[in-house]
Amino acid sequence: MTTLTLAVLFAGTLAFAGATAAAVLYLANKREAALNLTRRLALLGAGLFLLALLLRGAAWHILPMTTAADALIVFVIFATIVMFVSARDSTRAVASFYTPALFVLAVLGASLAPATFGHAPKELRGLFLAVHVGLAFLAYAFFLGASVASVAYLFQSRHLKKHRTVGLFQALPPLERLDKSLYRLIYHGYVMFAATLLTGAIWARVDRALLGPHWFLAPKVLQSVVMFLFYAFVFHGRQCGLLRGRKLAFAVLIGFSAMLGIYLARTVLNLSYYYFWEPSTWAS
Amino acid sequence: MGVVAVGLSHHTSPLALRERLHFPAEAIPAALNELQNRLHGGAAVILSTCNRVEIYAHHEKDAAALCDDIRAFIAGWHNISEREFEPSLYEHKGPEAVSHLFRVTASLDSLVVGEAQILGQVHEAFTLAQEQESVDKVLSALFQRAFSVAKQVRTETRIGAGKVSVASIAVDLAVSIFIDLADKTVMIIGSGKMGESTLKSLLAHGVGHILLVNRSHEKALVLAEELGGEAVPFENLDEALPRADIVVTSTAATAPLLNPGHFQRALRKRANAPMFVIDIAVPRNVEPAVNELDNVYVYDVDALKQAADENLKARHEAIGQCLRMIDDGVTKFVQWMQSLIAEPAILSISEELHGIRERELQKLLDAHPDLTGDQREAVIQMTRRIVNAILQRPMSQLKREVATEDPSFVLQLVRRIFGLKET
Repeated sequence: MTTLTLAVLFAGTLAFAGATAAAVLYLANKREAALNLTRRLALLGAGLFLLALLLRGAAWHILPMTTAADALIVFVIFATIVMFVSARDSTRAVASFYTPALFVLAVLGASLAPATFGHAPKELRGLFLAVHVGLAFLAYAFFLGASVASVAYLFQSRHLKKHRTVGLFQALPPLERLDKSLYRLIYHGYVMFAATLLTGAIWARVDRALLGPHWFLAPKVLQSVVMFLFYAFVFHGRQCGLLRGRKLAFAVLIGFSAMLGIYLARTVLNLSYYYFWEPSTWAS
Repeated sequence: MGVVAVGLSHHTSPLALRERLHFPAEAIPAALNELQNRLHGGAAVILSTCNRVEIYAHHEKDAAALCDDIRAFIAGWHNISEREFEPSLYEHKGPEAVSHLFRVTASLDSLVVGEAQILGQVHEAFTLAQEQESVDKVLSALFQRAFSVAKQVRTETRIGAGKVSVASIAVDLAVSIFIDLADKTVMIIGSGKMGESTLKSLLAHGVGHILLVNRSHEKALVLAEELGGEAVPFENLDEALPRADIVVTSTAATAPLLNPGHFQRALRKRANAPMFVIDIAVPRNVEPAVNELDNVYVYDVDALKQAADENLKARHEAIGQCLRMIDDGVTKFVQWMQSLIAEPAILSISEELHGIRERELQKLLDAHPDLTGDQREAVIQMTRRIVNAILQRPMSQLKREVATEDPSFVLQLVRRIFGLKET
């Protein structure tokens, strides 16, 4: 089953690679057919990732959300959904900015999978985990969407400032549309992340034995609180007009890059975020 | 092939000559009648715009003779010596004429490459000719194919992307910043002609509200009355600026009227909502440093010209792709025309086979007088369908063969096979 799951996962990664290649083609020649192909391949990739996740869940009888590979797979699926919801109609060209990010995340997920797919945490089960972790990934997916919208905004803004208004500039939506899309994505991410912290706190209270009495001092929790405060500042800054346009786009990009950077560094260096998630609690 | 295109355009002739040879729309029906009389039949379309005067014609006669007749018609109709316009005249025959029409309709031959107006003008010329019944099957197919190729060129290439006039570029830029102009306010400072035409262009695209600022408040009031806007006294410019999403400046002031300070104050009051500034004045009314501010996008005359040049460059880069589509269209049309050679043979074969069918049918019906009316009709229809089904594939193939192979050899062979008389 593990081999099949990995094969499906790699097929999904290939689909995201194809989507990225089609996106590059679209960015180069603005052919609508290339953009359609990008979207279809991204959808196929997400579908295959979902299948891999279901296979993994069925094989190990767990909610596959706890290892780094699982997390990245869920993240990629949610991010693809956010892409289809936010980059549609007049903003559909923005999908070409999404797929490279999805591809990188898919590669990371698929690379980490062989080392972790033979194992599964015996703890971390139940409704609270599903809701808490699911909300977290949804929030991350919205933040990724906001980062992509920021890149598109900065691209458009720079071209307008430099008076270069041909090529891809003409295919992308108006600045105001990107700004609204960016604002909506931050708003949804912010709300989801607030709910994530809330459900996390409830989970810690319910399952005291698992998380221990000092759960709120875990690096992951502290980082999440900092992140929440950062996005609260960004969201309310945009609401009152303090952060708007390029400043907002840069803030979103810096915030998301820092969050992703810390997560990836932690994963690569194999540093534990939760002192209660020691290797001894993992069953083979 | 008896299709020709005879005419002159901005490429080959000065405006003064084009004016003399112009056919006003109301004169075209009479001109088409006169031309058909001169040609003793045939089909013709007259395309007359400010940039070209062209006659497209189809006739059984030799193409060179057809061109001579058209030239003589132009001279006679306008009462002008052929010598006066002959050096500017071009004559395209056969596939060249087809290719020329396709390039004209797809706007590759226009003064501003990629402009959309020519497609409508060709369409009008064709409709007028249709109304006068001066088009035949060939010219009709030629123009329909031209429209189809032009549509393909416009939708699948960047030939029409980006505008090239100041007013239309300003509108294009405005809609690349704002989602909808209906809830936007445009402020126009000064009363220059360019500023006014830019404002009218923005109004045509549904801009919601207008603020008019002029050193002469009376002038502003008159313009506000005319355009349905709000006149703002010049001394209140600073207070009114935050209300403007789009600012158009076209005053004769010799020093800048607006500096970064004005916009910083405006942005603070607008919660940093973006502003688009079109400075058409020379010397400039807005300090260049304003473009350095976040959320303010300033386009002066040079920037607008740069945008126009870039759009034109992008259009010219698409020409190669357009020409490939046009070549493809020309090939298909020429093949279709070639296939028409097979039509008499196809008609003869069809008549021959249906003749056999009717003879055999008659024998059958005579042998079975007891058949009811419905039954007889059913048998007749069935035999007709069988013959048509048998004919369909070989006749399609015959059309393809004469379009790609030596038509006389193919037709001779077919005539021998079916025992048809030579025509």
